Formats: sequence, structure tokens, C-alpha cells
Amino acid sequence: MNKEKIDLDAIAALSGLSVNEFERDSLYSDMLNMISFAESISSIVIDIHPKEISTTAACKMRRDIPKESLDRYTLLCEARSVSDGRYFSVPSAIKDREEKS
Amino acid sequence: MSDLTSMSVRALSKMLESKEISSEELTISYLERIASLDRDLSAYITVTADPALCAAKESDKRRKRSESLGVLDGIPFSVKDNFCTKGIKTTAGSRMLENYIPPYTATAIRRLTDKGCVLLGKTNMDEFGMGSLCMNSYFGPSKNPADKKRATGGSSGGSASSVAASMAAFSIASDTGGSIRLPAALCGVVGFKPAYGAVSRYGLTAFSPSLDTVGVISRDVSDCDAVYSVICGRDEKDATSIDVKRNKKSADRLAVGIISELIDRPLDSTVRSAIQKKISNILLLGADSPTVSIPLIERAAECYYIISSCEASSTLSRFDGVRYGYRADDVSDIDELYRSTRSSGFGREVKKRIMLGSFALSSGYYDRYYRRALLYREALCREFDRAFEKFDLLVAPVYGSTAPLLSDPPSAEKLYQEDIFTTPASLAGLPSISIPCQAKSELPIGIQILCKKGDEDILFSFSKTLLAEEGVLYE
Repeated sequence: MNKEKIDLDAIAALSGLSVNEFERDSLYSDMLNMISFAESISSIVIDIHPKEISTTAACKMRRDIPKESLDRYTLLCEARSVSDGRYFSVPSAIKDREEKS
Repeated sequence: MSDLTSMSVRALSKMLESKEISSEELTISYLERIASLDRDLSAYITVTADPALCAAKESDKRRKRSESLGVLDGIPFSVKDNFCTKGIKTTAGSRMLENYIPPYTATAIRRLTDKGCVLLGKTNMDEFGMGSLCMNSYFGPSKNPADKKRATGGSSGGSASSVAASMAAFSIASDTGGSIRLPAALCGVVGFKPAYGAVSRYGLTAFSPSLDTVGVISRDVSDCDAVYSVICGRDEKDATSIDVKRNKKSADRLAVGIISELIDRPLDSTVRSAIQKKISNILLLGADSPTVSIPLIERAAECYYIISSCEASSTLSRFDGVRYGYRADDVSDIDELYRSTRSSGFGREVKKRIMLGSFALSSGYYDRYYRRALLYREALCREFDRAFEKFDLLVAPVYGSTAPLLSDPPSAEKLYQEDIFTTPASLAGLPSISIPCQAKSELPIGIQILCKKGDEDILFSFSKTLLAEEGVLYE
């Protein structure tokens, strides 16, 4: 792996994060170290076909029967911004035409 | 009555049963101890004094009516702050959930309160369980009761500290790659990570769902067994939970293997000497104890960091500032809301791991890292299966040194490498316990014992004998 090619902003974007200038250098260095650490797994010889991977999880599904759930008021209680007492409120998701142009 | 707080659950239960003490008196003793010690130790993030006293009084009323709910009725305990508790703040050690109050309670905690246990409060932890020293908490580090200048180990540092300092009779915590066993070892208490799925994860704030387990930190092995027996078992709310059938097998003349790849690693001289002494005791107990080689263990920590970070990048995507938790101000659109909330709500270690996970799952790198790590995990499980064909139990150190100084912690890379001791059992989904192997007057050191799923009784029985061999730590 060519360490020089790590694109910190692209990884941050994939992660739903942004990187500010104060942390950029140290975060870049930390990421290089972590990737370099993880890289050593590629040197091991593993004689297993991907189809042989089992899971440790039981995944025993429950019967799909509708049950009473939490009410709307309870769920909205923890939101920072609520609209009309009924909805989660968020900033604009679609920029208007003027802003786009 | 301060002596009460350092007694085992069994001893306290007998005293409650005989009405020598009341749960209210016991709870007050613990709350007084928390009030006097926790300012220095920072084991608790939230103390629930009033609800605890109410629960204790209810327990006393039940006992008066001879309607006790069992051995744990009226016993006060603490809970790591990543378990949802209805009406009680649940932070996961993060700014992101600083003021979050869940509308439901985790199954493991509910099973205990249904048996009359008294919740004293929620304990400090590395943010979302990511850390080995409990120094990544938004609320500051927890401190080791054996030496306040030292770290507790993590991520369940507050839970281990609360038990070691007699600020709770036992604690419920989570273990993803060693988060119960490591702090238990560094604080001098018992820490048990059950088999994957043995205890429901419902209500546990997810970090890495294929590795997360719910376990117990206690003063001795019998207490651990008693608590585990209550919280284990299938839960419809967690599809990965199972009823573990506990094998009935004689614990006489066990075959005990010492994992050579772990015992041969660089260890501090005090750790090596304590572990060697314990191994000598194992031989004296009559157990066979040759070494066993599990070669793939050499890369367990790397595999753990790939899988857990990949899963964390997915599980932590739910924190977006919309439905609950922290939300950044002054944002112009939804994309900025997500980015800004997550960038200022998560701490540095969490952001690093989310980014490593996103990178390892991205196009061009998935096969190289994530898929390879899954293959490695499968191969490691098979190596463990082969080892357990010859051995009943496997033994290893928990950590290479005693608790590090808070003022001089090891580098992040060194901490990741040290996780080699605890991550193998996590990757293979095996039950594993850490028990103290050092005199109380010295800095605590732990020894780790692993068994195969279903052999928990043998694990507990052997661990009890090994502890009792030098006298039970607390009685």
C-alpha cells in the first residue's frame, strides 16, 4: 500500500465527518499508522475459501408478530428539534434553485 | 457498616436473608462510599441515589413478606454507561449522548432488576467502548483504586473501579475485544466475558455487533457465576442470543494448555513472575499444563481492529443529530448537519476508528482488509477448535504490564498491539475470565482462562480453585 496516496478528505467524507485544519496532520499520521498496523494481516497465508466462512451468530429470528411500540411523543422527546409536535425537524435537504445557481 | 461494602454477594445475600441487615442499609453504605471516594476515582458518570433507595426499600418489603426474588434480591450493582436504562441518562462516555435518556431498558439489566437488584448508577467508560485504558471518556478518565495515578484499563474502567473500590457489589459491562477482562485485571477483580450470544445485547449501545458481549465484573468467581446465571439465555429481542447448554463434566484432572504465542511475548518482569507462579499452582492442582500453539493468534489484534472498525463505521452511522443525542448548531443544510454533528460529537479515537472502517470497506480495499479479516477469523476459530480437542482450558496473560500511569500512557500503536492477549477469545466467540493473580498489596495483575462454549461450569470451578489456592480475595 502506498501510504502517500491516502486521501484523508475522501475517507472523512465516506465516514460522514469533516477534518479541520488543526487536526489534519495528526489525524493523517494516525490513519497511516492504523492502516500500516492493519496491513500486516495481508501477509498471513489463510487456506480457507470465502464460502466456508461461518458465523458465530445464531440469528434465530422471532415470529413476525406486530407488537405495541414506543409512542410518537416518547420518541420525539429526545430530539433536539421537533416540528409541529409531530415531526423530527431538520435543515433544508434540497437547496433552492437560486442557491444552486 | 462500611465493611458491608467489601463483602461478597453470597455473604451479603445470607445477611439479607437472615435480616441481619436490610437492603436499605446496604444501599446507603454503598452510596456513602461513592460519595466519599468517587470524586477522586471518577468511576461513576451518573449516581441514581433516590431510585436506588426506593428499590432497596421495595426489596426489604418483599423480604418481610417472605417473597424474596432470590439470592440477588436487594444487592446493589453498577452498570457500564453503554446499557440503556429507562429514564436514566445513558452516555456511552460520549458527548454525542451526553444528555440522552433512553425510553427502554437493556435486557441484561432488566433481568437483574426483575430479580430485585438495586441499580446504584452508571459507570465511566471509553467512548463507545473504544479504548484500553478508560482515558477516552468525554467525562474524563477513571482512576485505579490501587493507585490513583494509574489508569483502570478499559473500556469498562468505571465498572472495574466501582467493584475494586467497593462502590458496588458487582457490575455489568460489555466486552468487545477485552473491555471487561483488561480493567478487571488491572484493578484486581474478576471479569467474565461470556460466549458470544450467551447474554442478550438488546439495549447495549452497539460498537461491533459480531464481537460485542455482555458480562460481569465481580469480587469473586462465585458472585460472577450467580450474576451470569441470571442474565444469560435467549432473548427474542436479540436474534443472535442463545441458550448455552452448560456441560456437566468433572473438573478433576483437567487438561490445561498455556498458549505459547501469548506467554512468549514480552511481558514486564512482575507480570511474568505472577503468571509463572500461577502456572506452577495449576501444576500443583494436578492439571496437566503443557503449552499449546495457536499460530494465527499472532495477528489477532490486527484482525480485531479491521472487523470492529468496519462494523463501528456502520453502527455509529445512526448518530446524525436528528432523532436523539447531540446536534451541532448553525448549520445551513442537512449534509452539514450530519458532518458537523458527527465531527464535534465524536471524540478523536472514535473518529479514527470510523475512518479506518470506512477505508477498509471502500472500493478497492474491501477484499484486502475486511474479507481477509473474516477469513482469518474463521481460520482462528478452527485453530481454537483443534486446541480444545486436546485441552479443557487455555491460559494466557491479560496484559503485558501493570496499570500504566495516567500521566505517561503507552502510544496508541502499543495499546493496539497489547490487545493481542484479549482479542483472540473475542474473535472466536469463546468464554473467557480474568482472575487476579497478585497479592492485594501489590499492583494488580490478571491471568486469563478460556474455555469452549458450554464449559463455563468447568471454567468457574477451576477459577475458584485457583483463586482459593491463595485465599479468596474478599470475604
